[in-house]
Amino acid sequence: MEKERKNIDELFREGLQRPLIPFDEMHWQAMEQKLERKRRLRKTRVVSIFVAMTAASIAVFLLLHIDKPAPIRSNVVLSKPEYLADTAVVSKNAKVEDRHRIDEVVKNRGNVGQKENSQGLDNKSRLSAASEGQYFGRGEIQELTLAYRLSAASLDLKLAPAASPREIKMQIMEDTLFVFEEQDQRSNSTKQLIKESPFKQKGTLSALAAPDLSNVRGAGQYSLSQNVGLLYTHSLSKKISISTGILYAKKNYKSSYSFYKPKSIAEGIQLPSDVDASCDVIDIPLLVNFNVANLKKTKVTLSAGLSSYFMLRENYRFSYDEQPSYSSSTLYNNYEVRGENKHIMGVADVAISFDRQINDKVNIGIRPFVKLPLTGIGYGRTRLESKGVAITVGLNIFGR
Amino acid sequence: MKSITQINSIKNIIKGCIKEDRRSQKELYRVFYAFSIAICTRYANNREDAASIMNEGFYKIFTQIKKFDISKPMEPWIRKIMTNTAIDFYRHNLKFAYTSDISDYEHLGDRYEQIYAKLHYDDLILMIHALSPSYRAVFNLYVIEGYNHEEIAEMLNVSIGTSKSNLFKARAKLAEMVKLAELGTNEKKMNVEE
Repeated sequence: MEKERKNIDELFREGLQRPLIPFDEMHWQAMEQKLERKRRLRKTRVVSIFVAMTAASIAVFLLLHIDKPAPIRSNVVLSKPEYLADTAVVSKNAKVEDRHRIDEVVKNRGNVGQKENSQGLDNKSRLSAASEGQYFGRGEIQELTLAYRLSAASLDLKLAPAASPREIKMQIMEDTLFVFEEQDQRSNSTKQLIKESPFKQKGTLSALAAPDLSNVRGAGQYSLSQNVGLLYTHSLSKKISISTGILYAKKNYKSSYSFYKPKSIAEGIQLPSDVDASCDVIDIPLLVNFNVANLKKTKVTLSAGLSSYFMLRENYRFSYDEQPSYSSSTLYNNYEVRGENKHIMGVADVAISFDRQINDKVNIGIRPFVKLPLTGIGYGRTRLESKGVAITVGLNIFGR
Repeated sequence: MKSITQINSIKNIIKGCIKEDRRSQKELYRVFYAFSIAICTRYANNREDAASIMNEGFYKIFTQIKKFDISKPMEPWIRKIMTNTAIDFYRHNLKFAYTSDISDYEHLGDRYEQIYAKLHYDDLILMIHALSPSYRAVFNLYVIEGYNHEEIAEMLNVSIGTSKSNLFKARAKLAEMVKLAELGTNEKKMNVEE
C-alpha cells in the first residue's frame, strides 16, 4: 500500500515536471489585451478622480460665492445741473469708503465738464470771455481769481451749469462693480457711460484640456478620450459672444462592427465582430455663447454651435470571431486611414461654462460639454458621441 | 541551472517590466510560459481555464514586479503566484465542482499506443483533470508543490482531516486510472504482437 502510494506520487511528480509546452501566441495576445484594458481602466480612474476632485473643488468654490448676489452697497443719483462740479445725492446708508469713491467719480466727471468749457483758452482769453458773460467751471474760477488776485464777483465769473439737465445713476456694489447711466432729461434719452465689470473683456483666449468619454451611439461602450486646444471668445454684446478655436482630440471608441457603415465593403470578405478605434482629430468649433448669469466674479455661459472634425489619422483594430482566411495567424486585423475624412459642421456642440475671474487678466473655469454627431464620423461613418468636462484657463487678451 | 548570461538577461527583462515596457513583458511571459502554464494546467479543468489562470497570474506578476527582489531567483516567486491564483480560481469555481466517476476514464488506455514503460505528460495531466477539483487541488499542493496538510487546509479553507481524506481518495483514483491505462496499453501491445 505504502509502496503504491509512493509510486503514484513519484510517477506524477516526475511525469509533470518541466513539460515541453510550446509558446502559444494567442495566449500572449489575450494577456496583452488584458494589460491594455487594465491600463486604460487605470488611466480612466486616475483622470476621473482628478476631474471629479477638480470639479468638486471648483463647484464648492463657486457655490460659496454664487449663492450670494453681490449686494448693492450704495445708490447714487446725480441730478442737478451742477453735478459736474461736486453735487451728488448719496443714500444715507452709504459706507464711508463708498462716499470717498463717489466723491472721486463726481470730481472726475466735473473735471471733464470743466475741460469742455475751457478748451483752448488762456487766462487772458478767459477774462475776455467773462466779460461776454460766458460760464466757467468752478476750477477755472478758482484759477482765475488766484491768477488775478481778485474775487470771482469782481470778475463777474459765473459757474457753468450742465449743458442740459441730466441725471446720472450709479450703483456701487461689492468688488467695484459700477454701473452708470446718464439720462438727458430734455431728450429723455439714456446712455450708458461706464460699466465696470469683472467680465468686461472683449476678447478672451482660453486654453482648454478636457478628458471625455467617447462612444458610438447605441453601442454602450465608453472609452476615455482626450482633448486639448485653444478657444477664442469675442463679446458681441453684454450677453452674447461667439467662440472659435482649434482643438486636438484623441478619440478612442469601441463598438460592434454592426455600427460601422463604410462607403464600400469588398464582397465576400469575412466581416469583423468588433472594432476598437483610435483617431487623431482636429476639432474646430464655432459657438454662440449666451451669458445666463453674471454673479459677482462668476459667469455662467450657455454655448451651442457646430464643430468640424478633420480626421488626421484613424486606426481601427478589427476583431474576428473566427480567423479570417487572409490573416496569417491572428483573430485581429489593423486598418489605418490618414487624412481622408473631414466633417464640416458635422457635430453639434453644447456646453455650459462656469468661469471664475482670478484677476483683471485671467479666469479659470469648468465646462461640461456634449458633442453629438449630425453625420457619420470617420471611415466607418459611426455616430460618434463625446461627453466630458473641460478645464479652462482664459486670458483677456485686450486688457481692461 | 541558469547561466550568468541568462540571469543577467532575466534581470534586464525584469527592469523593462518595471518600466511597463511591453516587449520586456512579452519576453518574461515567453521565458516563463511553459513553466507557468504547466502549474496552471494541473489545477485547471481544461487548457482554456489554465490559460486564463496563467494570464491572471502574469497580470499579478506585471503589476507587482516592483516588489520583487531582483537578487532572488524568479521561479519560486512565479510558482507561488501561479499556485495562489489557481487556488483562487478553485475557490471561485468550487460551486461548479463536480465529482467524476472512474469509469469515465477507461478510454485512457486508447491513448497509449506508443507508451509502454512510462506514461506521457499529457496522459498524466488527463488523469489529473479527471479528478474532482477538490481532490486535484489537494493532490497538487501536497504531492507536486510540497505543502503539508495544515497549510493546505488553510489555503483551501477545509479541515486537515478533509485535506488528508481528499489526498487519499485522489491517490486511489489516480492509481486506478494508471492501472486502467497500463492494462489498456498491454492489451494493445498484445494485439500488436499477435
